[in-house]
Amino acid sequence: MEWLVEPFQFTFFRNAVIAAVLAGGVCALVGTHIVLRGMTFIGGALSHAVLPGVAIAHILGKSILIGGFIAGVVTSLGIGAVSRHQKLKEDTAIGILLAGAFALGVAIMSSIRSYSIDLTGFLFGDVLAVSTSDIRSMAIVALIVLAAVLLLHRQWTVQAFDHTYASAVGLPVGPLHYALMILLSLAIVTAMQTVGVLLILAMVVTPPATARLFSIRVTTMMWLSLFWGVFASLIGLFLSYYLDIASGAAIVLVSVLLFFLAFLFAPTQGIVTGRLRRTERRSPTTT
Amino acid sequence: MPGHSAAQNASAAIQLEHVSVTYAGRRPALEDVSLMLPSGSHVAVIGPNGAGKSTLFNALLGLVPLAGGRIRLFGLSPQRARARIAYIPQRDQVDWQFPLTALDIALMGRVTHIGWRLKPRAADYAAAQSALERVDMWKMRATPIAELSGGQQQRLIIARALAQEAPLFLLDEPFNEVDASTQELLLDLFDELATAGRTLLVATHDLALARRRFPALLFLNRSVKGFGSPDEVFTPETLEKTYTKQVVKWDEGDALSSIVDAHTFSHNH
Repeated sequence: MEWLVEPFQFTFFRNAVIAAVLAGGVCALVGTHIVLRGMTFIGGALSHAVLPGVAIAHILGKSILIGGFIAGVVTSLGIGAVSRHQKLKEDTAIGILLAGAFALGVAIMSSIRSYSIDLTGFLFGDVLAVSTSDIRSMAIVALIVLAAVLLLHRQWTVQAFDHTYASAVGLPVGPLHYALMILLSLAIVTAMQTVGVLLILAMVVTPPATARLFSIRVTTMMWLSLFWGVFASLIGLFLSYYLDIASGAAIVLVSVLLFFLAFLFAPTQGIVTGRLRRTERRSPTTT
Repeated sequence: MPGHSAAQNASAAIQLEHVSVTYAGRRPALEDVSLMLPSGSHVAVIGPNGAGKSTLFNALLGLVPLAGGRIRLFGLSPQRARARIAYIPQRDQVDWQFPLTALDIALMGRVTHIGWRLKPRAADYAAAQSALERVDMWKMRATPIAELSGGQQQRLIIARALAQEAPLFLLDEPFNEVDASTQELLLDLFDELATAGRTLLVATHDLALARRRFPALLFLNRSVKGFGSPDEVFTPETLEKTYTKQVVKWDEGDALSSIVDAHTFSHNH
């Protein structure tokens, strides 16, 4: 058991673990509703779109969490506004804003001297550089997200399942949508330092997808997604420590590996186990 | 109607006065529709595709702006009356692969009752249970919705509406591709609801069924082409006015409805 305890003697590792667990959990919780509503592409767009906000905050010496959050919210409003134009579909609006915001972020970053080092940190994450004050902000964000999800998940589910019905019973569908966008922006900035802008999408989408294969209810899927998100973050960090590989990539690889294991072997919905079960079920009736 | 004051009609479940709806750049979807339905009305809404049945429902739900006229539901504007409307969409409008159980769907009918509470109350579970029992789905409450048959899924979205405990039901094609036993169960349920004073508007393509099992028929094709009991309005004239380009052949008695049925059937599938 020494190998399990050993890395914890280092402050940077303890901080990294807390940061990764918070990020993994927050992304997986919000991600459940992103996946249920088929908004993966928006998740990808928002995670890239935080970059200009991060870059500006970095240059001004302000909090990159707040800078990224503002950029995320502005972009999600922008996607809503552009896609309301009758001749453009939403995915087109997303594609344009994704690339545009990302280019703007790179352009701003390239104006400063330590360009490539800082940019690499934002793009791929640097969980070992997370400070104690970063962790405090991340914990506050995580609490906000948890409270909001507990409060709103029922309404989101109704809306995702049947949008017209949600409007018909008078749920505030517009505000509910933007609340989800705001929470997604919060989740993204929480995970930014752990896995980096380019890999956040995997933190948002993979744990819920894995959880989906084990769940017949949205609530089960949500808490299971939280579990897979946190679990992948922990295992990934250990792998990163012992194999000396980038922490963000390690976490995402573990998460994706878990997904494929579930895809093949989940009790009823895995493709291998599902087939076995169907043949078992069939055989007694045919003999 | 002139002379009718708002106070006189406050008890009307549905009141439309010269209602018109126009979608941008197209000809009107509804034109000068006037209608007064007291509580307990049980009406089949009949008309070809694109006749404005969905638009009528959307207008009653306050989801489309009116180009003219006025709608009052129990004396209220549609937006303010939402808590009193149980809307049942077409079954294929929702994603049945969603990770939800039958009980989850019935509980959705309580979403506005639950509001900001973290969990449904006992009253919400009781309403969901009673709704599922009424459509004979309580024993299936723990079943994932993806594993249910079309008829069972249809019963579920009706249970969701029942759980709302609303006085007005808007049902969009509830008999589409359901099994015979579900159809009978729903028809009996609708009769019971109407007898208990609930108001039901049921959009359907099934003319023979509407004629046989509904006390009132509303023929709609952009405007009202006929409204009354089957004996009064189920006539060649009304049908031809409603299905202008579609009913070509025409015979006596039941042959009439079968011809129209055959035509609307091939039109829809």
